[in-house]
Amino acid sequence: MVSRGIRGTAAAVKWAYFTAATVHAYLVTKDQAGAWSATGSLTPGTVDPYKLAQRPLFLVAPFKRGAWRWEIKQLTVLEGGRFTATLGTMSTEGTNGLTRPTTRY
Amino acid sequence: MGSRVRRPDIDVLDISGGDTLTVKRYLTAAEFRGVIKASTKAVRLDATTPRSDMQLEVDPTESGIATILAYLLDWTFTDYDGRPLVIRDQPVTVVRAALDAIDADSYMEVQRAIQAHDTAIRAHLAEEKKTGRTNSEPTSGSPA
Repeated sequence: MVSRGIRGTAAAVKWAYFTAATVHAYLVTKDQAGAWSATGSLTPGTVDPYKLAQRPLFLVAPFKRGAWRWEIKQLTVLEGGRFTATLGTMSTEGTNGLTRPTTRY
Repeated sequence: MGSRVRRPDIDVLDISGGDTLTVKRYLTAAEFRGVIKASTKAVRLDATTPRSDMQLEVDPTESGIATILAYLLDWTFTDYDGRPLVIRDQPVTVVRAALDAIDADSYMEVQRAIQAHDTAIRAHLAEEKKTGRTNSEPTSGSPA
Protein backbone atom coordinates (compact mmCIF):
# COMPACT_ATOMS: atom_id res chain seq x y z
CA MET A 1 0.00 0.00 0.00
CA VAL A 2 1.34 3.42 -0.96
CA SER A 3 1.75 5.89 1.88
CA ARG A 4 3.62 8.74 0.21
CA GLY A 5 4.48 9.87 -3.29
CA ILE A 6 6.12 12.51 -5.41
CA ARG A 7 4.91 13.21 -8.90
CA GLY A 8 6.76 15.42 -11.34
CA THR A 9 7.42 16.27 -14.95
CA ALA A 10 11.18 16.79 -15.00
CA ALA A 11 13.86 14.51 -13.56
CA ALA A 12 16.98 12.75 -14.67
CA VAL A 13 18.73 9.43 -14.37
CA LYS A 14 22.30 10.34 -13.47
CA TRP A 15 25.55 8.42 -13.54
CA ALA A 16 28.05 10.52 -11.61
CA TYR A 17 27.78 13.98 -13.18
CA PHE A 18 26.45 12.62 -16.47
CA THR A 19 22.81 12.54 -17.40
CA ALA A 20 22.13 9.01 -18.61
CA ALA A 21 18.56 9.95 -19.56
CA THR A 22 16.09 12.66 -18.82
CA VAL A 23 12.69 11.79 -17.43
CA HIS A 24 9.66 13.77 -18.53
CA ALA A 25 7.06 12.25 -16.24
CA TYR A 26 7.52 10.25 -13.10
CA LEU A 27 5.87 9.05 -9.94
CA VAL A 28 7.95 8.05 -6.94
CA THR A 29 6.16 6.24 -4.17
CA LYS A 30 7.06 4.96 -0.75
CA ASP A 31 5.23 1.97 0.62
CA GLN A 32 4.33 1.45 4.25
CA ALA A 33 7.44 -0.65 4.76
CA GLY A 34 9.48 2.41 3.74
CA ALA A 35 10.62 1.15 0.35
CA TRP A 36 10.78 3.65 -2.50
CA SER A 37 9.95 2.82 -6.12
CA ALA A 38 9.45 4.83 -9.29
CA THR A 39 7.67 4.66 -12.59
CA GLY A 40 7.96 7.12 -15.42
CA SER A 41 8.97 7.83 -18.99
CA LEU A 42 12.42 8.49 -20.39
CA THR A 43 12.50 11.36 -22.84
CA PRO A 44 13.12 10.05 -26.38
CA GLY A 45 16.45 11.20 -27.79
CA THR A 46 18.02 11.78 -24.38
CA VAL A 47 18.88 8.20 -23.49
CA ASP A 48 22.57 7.34 -23.55
CA PRO A 49 22.72 3.53 -23.55
CA TYR A 50 26.33 3.41 -22.37
CA LYS A 51 25.73 5.67 -19.38
CA LEU A 52 22.44 3.95 -18.56
CA ALA A 53 24.34 0.65 -18.32
CA GLN A 54 26.77 2.05 -15.73
CA ARG A 55 26.33 1.82 -11.96
CA PRO A 56 25.51 3.37 -9.63
CA LEU A 57 22.65 5.29 -11.21
CA PHE A 58 20.58 7.87 -9.37
CA LEU A 59 17.14 9.28 -9.97
CA VAL A 60 17.38 13.02 -9.39
CA ALA A 61 14.17 15.00 -9.20
CA PRO A 62 14.70 18.74 -8.90
CA PHE A 63 12.39 21.10 -7.07
CA LYS A 64 12.60 24.85 -6.72
CA ARG A 65 15.48 25.07 -4.26
CA GLY A 66 17.03 21.64 -4.45
CA ALA A 67 16.59 18.09 -5.60
CA TRP A 68 15.59 14.72 -4.27
CA ARG A 69 18.02 11.93 -5.08
CA TRP A 70 17.60 8.19 -4.83
CA GLU A 71 20.05 5.47 -5.79
CA ILE A 72 18.46 3.20 -8.36
CA LYS A 73 18.73 -0.36 -7.11
CA GLN A 74 17.05 -1.93 -10.11
CA LEU A 75 15.95 -0.36 -13.36
CA THR A 76 13.71 -1.87 -16.00
CA VAL A 77 13.17 0.07 -19.21
CA LEU A 78 10.12 -1.03 -21.13
CA GLU A 79 9.20 -0.49 -24.73
CA GLY A 80 8.39 3.13 -25.51
CA GLY A 81 10.70 4.45 -22.80
CA ARG A 82 8.49 3.64 -19.83
CA PHE A 83 10.51 2.51 -16.85
CA THR A 84 10.09 1.06 -13.42
CA ALA A 85 12.74 1.29 -10.74
CA THR A 86 13.39 0.06 -7.26
CA LEU A 87 15.02 2.84 -5.28
CA GLY A 88 17.22 3.14 -2.23
CA THR A 89 16.82 5.78 0.44
CA MET A 90 16.07 9.37 -0.51
CA SER A 91 18.48 12.21 0.11
CA THR A 92 17.84 15.89 -0.44
CA GLU A 93 20.30 18.18 -2.17
CA GLY A 94 20.58 21.89 -1.52
CA THR A 95 20.11 24.74 -3.92
CA ASN A 96 20.18 23.03 -7.23
CA GLY A 97 17.57 24.00 -9.66
CA LEU A 98 15.46 26.43 -11.50
CA THR A 99 12.92 23.88 -12.63
CA ARG A 100 9.31 23.94 -11.52
CA PRO A 101 8.43 22.33 -8.22
CA THR A 102 6.94 18.90 -8.31
CA THR A 103 3.52 18.08 -6.92
CA ARG A 104 3.53 16.17 -3.67
CA TYR A 105 0.56 14.36 -2.28
CA MET B 1 45.33 -3.77 -22.65
CA GLY B 2 44.15 -0.86 -20.53
CA SER B 3 40.66 0.54 -20.35
CA ARG B 4 39.67 3.05 -22.98
CA VAL B 5 36.99 4.63 -20.83
CA ARG B 6 37.53 6.78 -17.76
CA ARG B 7 35.72 6.90 -14.48
CA PRO B 8 33.79 10.18 -14.24
CA ASP B 9 36.06 11.62 -11.55
CA ILE B 10 36.06 15.24 -10.54
CA ASP B 11 38.75 17.67 -9.44
CA VAL B 12 38.35 20.77 -7.34
CA LEU B 13 40.48 23.72 -8.46
CA ASP B 14 41.32 26.42 -5.95
CA ILE B 15 41.23 29.97 -7.26
CA SER B 16 41.51 33.37 -5.60
CA GLY B 17 39.32 34.56 -2.74
CA GLY B 18 38.83 31.06 -1.39
CA ASP B 19 36.60 30.14 -4.31
CA THR B 20 36.73 26.76 -5.99
CA LEU B 21 35.78 25.33 -9.35
CA THR B 22 34.58 21.73 -9.59
CA VAL B 23 35.56 20.26 -12.94
CA LYS B 24 35.52 16.97 -14.77
CA ARG B 25 38.90 15.28 -14.63
CA TYR B 26 38.66 14.03 -18.21
CA LEU B 27 36.52 14.79 -21.21
CA THR B 28 34.84 12.02 -23.16
CA ALA B 29 35.22 11.76 -26.93
CA ALA B 30 31.82 13.43 -27.39
CA GLU B 31 32.78 16.30 -25.09
CA PHE B 32 36.12 16.69 -26.90
CA ARG B 33 34.34 16.80 -30.26
CA GLY B 34 31.96 19.38 -28.81
CA VAL B 35 34.89 21.63 -27.85
CA ILE B 36 36.43 21.30 -31.32
CA LYS B 37 33.12 21.99 -33.03
CA ALA B 38 32.38 25.03 -30.89
CA SER B 39 35.92 26.36 -31.31
CA THR B 40 35.97 26.46 -35.09
CA LYS B 41 34.09 28.39 -37.69
CA ALA B 42 33.88 28.00 -41.44
CA VAL B 43 35.53 30.84 -43.31
CA ARG B 44 35.52 31.75 -46.96
CA LEU B 45 38.84 32.97 -48.38
CA ASP B 46 37.01 35.45 -50.58
CA ALA B 47 33.58 35.99 -52.05
CA THR B 48 34.28 33.66 -54.97
CA THR B 49 35.31 30.70 -52.81
CA PRO B 50 32.85 27.88 -53.43
CA ARG B 51 31.06 26.53 -50.36
CA SER B 52 32.84 23.19 -50.80
CA ASP B 53 36.22 24.92 -50.42
CA MET B 54 35.46 26.76 -47.20
CA GLN B 55 38.12 26.35 -44.53
CA LEU B 56 37.86 25.95 -40.80
CA GLU B 57 39.44 28.56 -38.59
CA VAL B 58 39.92 28.40 -34.83
CA ASP B 59 37.97 31.04 -32.95
CA PRO B 60 40.05 31.68 -29.79
CA THR B 61 37.20 33.39 -27.94
CA GLU B 62 34.78 30.55 -28.50
CA SER B 63 37.52 28.01 -27.87
CA GLY B 64 38.00 29.41 -24.37
CA ILE B 65 34.36 29.30 -23.39
CA ALA B 66 33.81 25.92 -25.05
CA THR B 67 36.61 24.47 -22.92
CA ILE B 68 35.12 26.00 -19.78
CA LEU B 69 31.64 24.70 -20.59
CA ALA B 70 33.00 21.23 -21.27
CA TYR B 71 34.81 20.91 -17.94
CA LEU B 72 32.96 23.09 -15.44
CA LEU B 73 30.47 21.31 -13.16
CA ASP B 74 30.10 23.69 -10.23
CA TRP B 75 31.64 26.64 -8.44
CA THR B 76 31.32 28.53 -5.18
CA PHE B 77 30.50 31.90 -6.76
CA THR B 78 27.75 34.02 -5.26
CA ASP B 79 26.02 37.19 -6.32
CA TYR B 80 26.38 40.57 -4.57
CA ASP B 81 23.78 39.49 -1.96
CA GLY B 82 25.64 36.28 -1.20
CA ARG B 83 23.18 34.02 -3.00
CA PRO B 84 24.78 31.12 -4.87
CA LEU B 85 25.09 31.51 -8.63
CA VAL B 86 23.67 28.09 -9.37
CA ILE B 87 25.24 26.27 -12.30
CA ARG B 88 25.33 22.69 -11.04
CA ASP B 89 23.16 20.39 -13.18
CA GLN B 90 21.94 23.39 -15.17
CA PRO B 91 21.52 23.49 -18.95
CA VAL B 92 24.48 24.87 -20.86
CA THR B 93 22.53 28.06 -21.62
CA VAL B 94 22.22 28.77 -17.88
CA VAL B 95 25.92 28.07 -17.25
CA ARG B 96 26.90 30.28 -20.17
CA ALA B 97 24.64 33.06 -18.93
CA ALA B 98 26.29 32.87 -15.49
CA LEU B 99 29.74 32.99 -17.11
CA ASP B 100 28.63 36.01 -19.11
CA ALA B 101 27.39 37.72 -15.94
CA ILE B 102 30.57 37.48 -13.84
CA ASP B 103 33.15 40.23 -14.17
CA ALA B 104 35.83 39.98 -16.84
CA ASP B 105 38.71 39.36 -14.40
CA SER B 106 36.83 36.49 -12.79
CA TYR B 107 36.02 35.05 -16.19
CA MET B 108 39.68 35.14 -17.21
CA GLU B 109 40.65 33.50 -13.92
CA VAL B 110 38.14 30.69 -14.52
CA GLN B 111 39.44 30.27 -18.06
CA ARG B 112 43.09 30.19 -16.94
CA ALA B 113 42.37 27.65 -14.20
CA ILE B 114 40.48 25.33 -16.52
CA GLN B 115 43.00 25.65 -19.31
CA ALA B 116 45.78 24.79 -16.84
CA HIS B 117 43.75 21.76 -15.74
CA ASP B 118 43.25 20.74 -19.39
CA THR B 119 46.98 21.10 -20.06
CA ALA B 120 47.86 19.04 -16.99
CA ILE B 121 45.41 16.30 -17.95
CA ARG B 122 46.73 16.19 -21.53
CA ALA B 123 50.28 15.86 -20.18
CA HIS B 124 49.12 13.09 -17.87
CA LEU B 125 47.45 11.24 -20.75
CA ALA B 126 50.59 11.61 -22.87
CA GLU B 127 52.64 10.21 -20.01
CA GLU B 128 50.25 7.27 -19.69
CA LYS B 129 50.68 6.57 -23.37
CA LYS B 130 54.44 6.52 -22.97
CA THR B 131 54.48 4.30 -19.92
CA GLY B 132 51.58 2.10 -20.98
CA ARG B 133 49.81 2.61 -17.65
CA THR B 134 46.20 3.68 -18.05
CA ASN B 135 43.73 5.03 -15.51
CA SER B 136 46.54 6.11 -13.21
CA GLU B 137 45.99 9.09 -10.98
CA PRO B 138 47.06 12.45 -12.40
CA THR B 139 49.32 14.52 -10.20
CA SER B 140 47.46 17.80 -10.79
CA GLY B 141 44.22 18.95 -9.25
CA SER B 142 42.77 17.99 -5.93
CA PRO B 143 40.53 14.94 -6.27
CA ALA B 144 37.24 15.34 -4.46
